[in-house]
Amino acid sequence: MILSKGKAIIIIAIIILISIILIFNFRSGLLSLLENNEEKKEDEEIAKDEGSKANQEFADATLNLYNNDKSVKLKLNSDKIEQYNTGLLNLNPVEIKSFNINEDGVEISSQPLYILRGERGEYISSDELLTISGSVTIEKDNSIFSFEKIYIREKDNEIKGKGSVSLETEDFVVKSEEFKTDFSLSTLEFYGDDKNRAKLKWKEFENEK
Amino acid sequence: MKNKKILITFSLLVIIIMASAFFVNTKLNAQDNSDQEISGDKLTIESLEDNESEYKVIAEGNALLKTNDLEIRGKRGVVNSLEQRVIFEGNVNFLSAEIEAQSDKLTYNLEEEMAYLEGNVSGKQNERRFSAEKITINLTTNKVELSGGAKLIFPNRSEE
Repeated sequence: MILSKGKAIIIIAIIILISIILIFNFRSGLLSLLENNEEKKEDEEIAKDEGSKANQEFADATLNLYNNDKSVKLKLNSDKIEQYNTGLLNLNPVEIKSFNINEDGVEISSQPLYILRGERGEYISSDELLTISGSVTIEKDNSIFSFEKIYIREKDNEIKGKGSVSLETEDFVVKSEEFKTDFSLSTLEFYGDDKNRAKLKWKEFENEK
Repeated sequence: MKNKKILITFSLLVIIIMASAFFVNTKLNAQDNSDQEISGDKLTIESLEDNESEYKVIAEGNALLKTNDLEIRGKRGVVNSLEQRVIFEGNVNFLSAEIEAQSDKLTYNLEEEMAYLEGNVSGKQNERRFSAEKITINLTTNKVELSGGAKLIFPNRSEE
């Protein structure tokens, strides 16, 4: 069958359009599949390395961390804690509630200063280092922080966040590559890198007021 | 006739796709429609002790404050939400539609819409060049006041 020139152009244009849409869908699908596979592989490798060596397991366990002057307590709760011979603790998932405490270690208020959540945690007792990864968030009042990974170093009273750092408050949004603060989140430091500077963008003026 | 139908269908399809793209774009812009931002190599946010909802933002290393109407650059910039004041220090560069100025320090009062530049101030308003120890810029009227060793140079004229 011979098509007229106009028809042929229209059909070709439709085919090109559909192809573009399909390519975009396929590309984004493929990317997310690759990301998921990489995450799975990492998890499997960790499980292979350490899974058989766990010598103790606790369900719904709590672990407390303190800052230098013992004025802030981080109350860590996890559905499952695995303890290894090396002194490593694997936590899955992690929820930390932070409290101001008095000299006797008693919580001053039942209301936490903030709540930190993450998918996976790893605590190395010799280094007093807790690493939390997988969609890490901190909720404080009306502010939400998010990171790819967070490091809590007890002896330095330091919380460090890395990768796609963001903070959203009622007034503004901050984006950066790295983040540093203390256990009480009193001062927040955001660092950029060569590609992306640390940036704070105010929300609309009407919202601000 | 059949050709016309196909052409209309195709045109509608293109319009729908373009409209969807426009809608998505508009939605993204709506989430990000504020043009007031501060950036730097490092940003520090401190709550002001007396009032938890008020804060101080300190930008260090190539600090830049950008609004719809102006840009301020410097080594260090501080925004105080309680005092509604911005202070920039170190090789400060002020740029608005009409005025361009350099100084050692700049204080921008957000409520008054006034900028105060001090220390080795120089710059230009349209084609008029100026220098002084201090200048005051009214950002609403674009009026510039020079003080202390003030010099004003008009284009193609000698110094006044």
